[in-house]
Amino acid sequence: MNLEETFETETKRADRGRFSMRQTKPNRNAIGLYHGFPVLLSALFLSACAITDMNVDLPNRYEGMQLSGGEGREVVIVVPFSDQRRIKKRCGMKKNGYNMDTADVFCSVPPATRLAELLAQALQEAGFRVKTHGEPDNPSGIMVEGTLLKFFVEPVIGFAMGSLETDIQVRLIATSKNGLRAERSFFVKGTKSAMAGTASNYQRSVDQAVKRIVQQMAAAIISLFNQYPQLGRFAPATLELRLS
Amino acid sequence: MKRLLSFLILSALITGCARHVVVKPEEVGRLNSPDWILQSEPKPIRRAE
Repeated sequence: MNLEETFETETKRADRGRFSMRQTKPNRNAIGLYHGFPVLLSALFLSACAITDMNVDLPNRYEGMQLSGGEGREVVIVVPFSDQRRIKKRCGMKKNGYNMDTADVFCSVPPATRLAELLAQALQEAGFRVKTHGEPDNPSGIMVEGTLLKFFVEPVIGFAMGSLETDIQVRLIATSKNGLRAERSFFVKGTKSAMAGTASNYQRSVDQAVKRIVQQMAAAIISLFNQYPQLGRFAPATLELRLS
Repeated sequence: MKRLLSFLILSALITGCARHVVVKPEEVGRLNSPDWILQSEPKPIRRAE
């Protein structure tokens, strides 16, 4: 076999090989990985938000409560509220697309403290004389003690869209030295419809619920004072004695 | 088809078993007191003589 023949044989062998390569069935695993990679990458990007813990802020002030009617009456709001939540270690949870709990949401400050502070602030803006500790200075002054029963934010995944829901439950007990004892429960839900559970969507849901419950609690205390107009006012005789 | 069916059944099972902490919106009204529950009313304060 001369050199030309050898070359021809090798070329034919190589061609056969190439042909046989073409005939070989494609490697399904390799193709699956190739096509699945972008999907896997997108899934990782999307789910990364759902597996990391996050914080929600509880602002120390809310504007635009627009409450009035305090008329200088005295009220004591005990700060902080008693915290009797069933879940105390976190303020909410994150979920994946299958509605499974994947990460924690924490509050920047204890909600039992911040809600009591916000209520005291709202009543002060409504014209009340507010104390946050101690006892009322006069016998008809009201003392309000609160119990935080629930504070939780979580995504609720629907068929086509989801929403971020925040539940807050507080029980208030109002007492006065002259015999008043009244109780009332407040439950609000903050809802933010969203396609994704971003930090800002969680925050909006929490803000809505906090603002709503503070407004409701303040309005209820004002209505209690209006029901008994003598409450929280210094008796005229006492004023006379003080003046003389 | 078989795979899709298995996926759907699995998804439904996982979703069905998911734990919710928040309540349904229709339950909010039940958990809210419409007014103050009075256990005792304030007595009128006697004026100093």
